Amino acid sequence: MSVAGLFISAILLSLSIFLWLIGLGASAPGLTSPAAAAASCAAAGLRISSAEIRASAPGAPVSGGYMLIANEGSQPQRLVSVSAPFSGRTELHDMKMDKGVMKMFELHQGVTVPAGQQLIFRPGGRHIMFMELDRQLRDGERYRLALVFDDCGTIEQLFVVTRMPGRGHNHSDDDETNDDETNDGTGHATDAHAHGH
Amino acid sequence: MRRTALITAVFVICLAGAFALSEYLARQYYPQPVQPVRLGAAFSLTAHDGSAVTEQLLGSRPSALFFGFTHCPEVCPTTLNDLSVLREQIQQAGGDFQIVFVTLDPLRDTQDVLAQYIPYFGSGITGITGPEGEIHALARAWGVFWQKNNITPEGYNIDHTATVFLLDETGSFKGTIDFHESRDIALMKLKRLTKLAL
Repeated sequence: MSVAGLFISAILLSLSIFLWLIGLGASAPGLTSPAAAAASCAAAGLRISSAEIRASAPGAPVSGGYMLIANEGSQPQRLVSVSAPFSGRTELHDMKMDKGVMKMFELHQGVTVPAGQQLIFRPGGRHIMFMELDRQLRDGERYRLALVFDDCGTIEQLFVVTRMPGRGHNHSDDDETNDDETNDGTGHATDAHAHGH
Repeated sequence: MRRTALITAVFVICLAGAFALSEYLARQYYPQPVQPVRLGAAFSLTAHDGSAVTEQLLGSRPSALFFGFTHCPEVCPTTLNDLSVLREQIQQAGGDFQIVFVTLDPLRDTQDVLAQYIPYFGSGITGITGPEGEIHALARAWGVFWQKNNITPEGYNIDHTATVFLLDETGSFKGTIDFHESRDIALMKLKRLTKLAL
């Protein structure tokens, strides 16, 4: 191929990317399609990372979901619900250890991520509770979950199933024992994406 | 001369008083001999493989005993996973112990359910279920707390003691592993339980 040919293809490629970006921008105010909503939550500064689901034992009808939500925007954002393709019922829960007894309770008001802060969902604490599983969740599987925020819309996020959630590269043992559940900084949210479809 | 004797006497009396006082205070804080802890009770229940199981199971070799339920979202699978990994480490070091899981939810955790659930976490684990009254009697004998919560038409959760009980090969209580303890400490405890060099 000639240099001129390469040059023309490059121009065509950048033109098509440009048109695609304009298209995304035009569809964003509608907030109707998941992709548009995701773009909106991403635009609002929300970043999800370390998204994991606990692998389930055969016969076990429940599991938990974990992630790090970073709000790099200037407005607080509230996660109100989550839906998963394998779960009949999904709730947001927190748990506390009290004299050796693990006590779990539902977060009826959802979870607010303050502007400029991160919120950790991890084993032993805040988590997404999946109930009425219609299948066994196996190590290595990936599922797309819809995280619904009351203001910016829905983020479609890819979660990975693992037998030992919260022990990957993004959560050291120090993180697990650290009781500060919200903290400043954005260095953590490296692989955050608001996935469209 | 008399004066010297008087001073000496007062000095000796003060010394004796100080000694008696310090001895009294020291004895107040002296460690008391520990009473052997009596935990557990005889039982006759069903193992996940359908066989009958009694307290003799706990007298056969060192054990890690844990109470839970299969609808348990986190503590139970995490504990079973961790214990299974620890058991592999102990086995590599030349020791062994068994893992015993007693359900606190026998109405939902029938033998069939446990037969599916238990082997997923590895070998060397015995799941135990049976009539609710007898399960609850066993849990009480181990000082285990449990309470249903989040009760809805669709189901319920059970808050429960998340402690792992460590028993020696005679079935005597030797200590515990706490849910939030580091794995290194848990490994040390299990090495001591299985009489391995630390």
